Amino acid sequence: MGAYIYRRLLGSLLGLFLTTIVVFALLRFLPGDVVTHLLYGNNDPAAAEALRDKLGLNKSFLEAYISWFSGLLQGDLGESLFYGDSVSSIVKERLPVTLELTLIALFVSILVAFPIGIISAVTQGSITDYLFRGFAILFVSVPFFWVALLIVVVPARMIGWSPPVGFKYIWDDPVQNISVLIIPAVLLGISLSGRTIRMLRTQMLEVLRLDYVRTARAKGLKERTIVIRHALRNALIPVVTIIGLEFAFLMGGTIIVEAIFGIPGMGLLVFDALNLRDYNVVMGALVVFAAILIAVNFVVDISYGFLNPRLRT
Amino acid sequence: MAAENNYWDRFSQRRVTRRRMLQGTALTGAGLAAAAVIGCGDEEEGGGTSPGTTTPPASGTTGGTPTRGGVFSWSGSVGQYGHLDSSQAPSIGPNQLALLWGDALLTYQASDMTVTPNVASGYEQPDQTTIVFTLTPNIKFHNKPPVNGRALTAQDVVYTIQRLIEPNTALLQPWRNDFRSVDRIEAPDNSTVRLTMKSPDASLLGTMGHWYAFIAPSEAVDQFTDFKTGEAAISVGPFVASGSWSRDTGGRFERNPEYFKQGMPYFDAVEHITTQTGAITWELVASDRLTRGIVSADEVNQGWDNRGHGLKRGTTGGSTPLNMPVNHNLDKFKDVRVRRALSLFIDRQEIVDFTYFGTPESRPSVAIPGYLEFWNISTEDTERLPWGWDASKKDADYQQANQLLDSAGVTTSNPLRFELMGWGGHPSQGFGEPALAYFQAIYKDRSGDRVQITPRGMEFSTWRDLVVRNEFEAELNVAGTGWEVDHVLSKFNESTGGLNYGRYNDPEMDRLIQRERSIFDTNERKAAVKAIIERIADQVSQVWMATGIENYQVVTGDLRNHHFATSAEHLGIEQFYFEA
Repeated sequence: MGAYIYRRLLGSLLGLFLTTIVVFALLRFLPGDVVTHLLYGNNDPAAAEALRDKLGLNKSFLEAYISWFSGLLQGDLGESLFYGDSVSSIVKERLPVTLELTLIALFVSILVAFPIGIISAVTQGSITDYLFRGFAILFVSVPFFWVALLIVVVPARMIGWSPPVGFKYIWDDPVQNISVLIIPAVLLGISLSGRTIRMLRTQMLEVLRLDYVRTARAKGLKERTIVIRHALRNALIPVVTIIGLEFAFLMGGTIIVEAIFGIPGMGLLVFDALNLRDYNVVMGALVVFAAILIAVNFVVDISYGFLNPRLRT
Repeated sequence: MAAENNYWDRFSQRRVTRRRMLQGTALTGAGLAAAAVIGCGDEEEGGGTSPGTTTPPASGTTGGTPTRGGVFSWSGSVGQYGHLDSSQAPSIGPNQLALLWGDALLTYQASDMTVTPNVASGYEQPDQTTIVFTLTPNIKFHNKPPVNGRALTAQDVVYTIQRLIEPNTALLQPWRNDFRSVDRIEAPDNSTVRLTMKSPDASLLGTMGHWYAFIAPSEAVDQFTDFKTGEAAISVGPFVASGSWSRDTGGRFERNPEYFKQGMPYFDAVEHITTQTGAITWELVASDRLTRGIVSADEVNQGWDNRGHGLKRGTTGGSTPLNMPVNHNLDKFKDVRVRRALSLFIDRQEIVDFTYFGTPESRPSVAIPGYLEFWNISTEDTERLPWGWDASKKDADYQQANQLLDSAGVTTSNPLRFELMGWGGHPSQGFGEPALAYFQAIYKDRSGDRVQITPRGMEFSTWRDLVVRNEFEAELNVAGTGWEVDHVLSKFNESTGGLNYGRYNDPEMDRLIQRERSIFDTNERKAAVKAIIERIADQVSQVWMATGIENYQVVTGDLRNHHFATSAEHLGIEQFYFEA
């Protein structure tokens, strides 16, 4: 098991390193730079060059990458070229917001998907099953951003109510924080639950037909014990993968919901920074994203190893 | 809104269809484009009323008895620049928030080119190159560390200006050029500031009334470097920024109990809520969560009729121009006849109608600043001049443009070909593919295929980069310039102008601008401005189309004494109050 973990860890770190090179290169190849935004309206090429020098934008790709990467190794993500703030402090402010949104959404997704997926499987072919499968397809099919816009626009037009805005950090005002995040998180969670419902139902149906389940029934175990204790655990491996992927999707895919509900998370940060060619912020944020995704994949891989010893070799 | 893909099909249909289509597509987003390009059009304000039959008057803006108290909630992003320090932003994003907490020596009224007392109670001009300001007594800074409410002195004013103009690598100083004529600034005593100019410069007074010239205490700079954060934003303005203000969420500005204008401000506080989209802003106002919000003309026109809520609306304003700069380094644009023809082919009313839904504040214009009558250029003048533009004689204009092309040797076998650059792929993102297709079509149509445009849409930052590096043939643009008339004129048309990315170089224009700048008498200066505008239109430094690009503000019912003419001059939010 130790060698398995070691191999996975090494692979993850290599993946992270390669990600930084690819992203850094892509950013450098984009036309335009932050100086054109900072000095727009000041038509002075000399001033622009001086600022580029100051910001380190005139360095070669290799020189710039080595400088940035050596900072990274020391835990320094650099400074925002546009705002001048430390990238670490910006990410430190934004990451908890997206993480919180993601975790609540994931929790909602599991809360919705597990009962529906299980009930749908054990009542296969019934009206309940058809109904729940219909829900799952609906959740997968309807774009969540469209529903989000409806939630914002329709109540305001019809009854003069709009979802809470005015985001506050959880450590400043927990009540306001939750009241702002809960609607988008539930929306995201329900939207994501569709795939989990379908996967869980399929896996449960497969497992419930296996011999050991039949044996358990023959032994006279309660149906609830068979489903929860024996079938569900074995049906979970692909579902865990799906949940891991959902987490990854949510971490990087919250930008639309962040924009609609005015939530200052990582998605908006990257979007704005990319528009401004604020390389350091984009790199800092993407490294954090990549590290989280790789960590999640690593944990999922390790959990496979625990769940299925054959995968450890 | 998806009509851009079959533009040519529709273009070949009857004219009204094309108009409708364009209204919904090509130029719908130009108002938003203005907002985005200037970084903060959604926060730009000026005078005006609203269009259409549903327009309530801009009344409610005055009247009632001034009442103390209440919280004025206000939405909007802080623009691209995302902080509170307007002296560090080359666009006007943070300007309105800066006016909450900072006051400048004077206030500038763009509508009549005058300045009024503020931190300075008055000024004298002993000679053409000297201005002596007398400070209003008993002004105190905000009671926040490290300044802790100490009294303002003349030395603070000196420091404020020096900070903006003396080379400092820690600062961007985007407005430094506006102070180019300052030779020295001194404080002979605690209440007097003497400013000496290298040469007479009337625009300096307006500059002293600009929002980037807020009074800056040195202790705050020593501690925080700039005024970008809520903690650092310390000055003498009507409201005090809370330390927790953030560009992502907004924050609260409490009433300054020591504000130097007696009895003001009326509000207890201003709550700034950062919103990411105009749609959210609109819904917040409609559900009484905001006192005032800025929304796009598109949103207003789509939603106004079925939303009551006792809202008022007014256009925001400014001198932001919509234009098509050409690259003067290219031989094809060096012939003034060609540039005049390009200008005459533009139906400005059509553009204003499509883009701004006919808002009265948006003016067709052959030059900036718009509002030509203010510069003593009457409609008749406009019609009389050979470069003039008049909606009622479009066909004659097109004919004249074609004659100009004839004389310049532009024929179907020798057409004028150029690439027109714009940005934003979706109509709501501005001058993207649909707008480019519109210009391609009208030039082809009106010139008999002698002006052939290749549209080139791209992403915003790429577009801006190519513009700044002068790597374009022609482009569609909107840009904020500040409000002082000289800033507006010089930045686009002077050979060294900060926004003259097309490299227009006209010694006569430079001479006219320098002359205008040296005149302190308002009426004389108006005449000088008129001469510049005539030169702009005659030489077509850029193809100007419209000015006064607008968004709308929607306001809840009980706000009084607010005016829609605001930060074009001085925001004056300390004078707003709620009806009891």
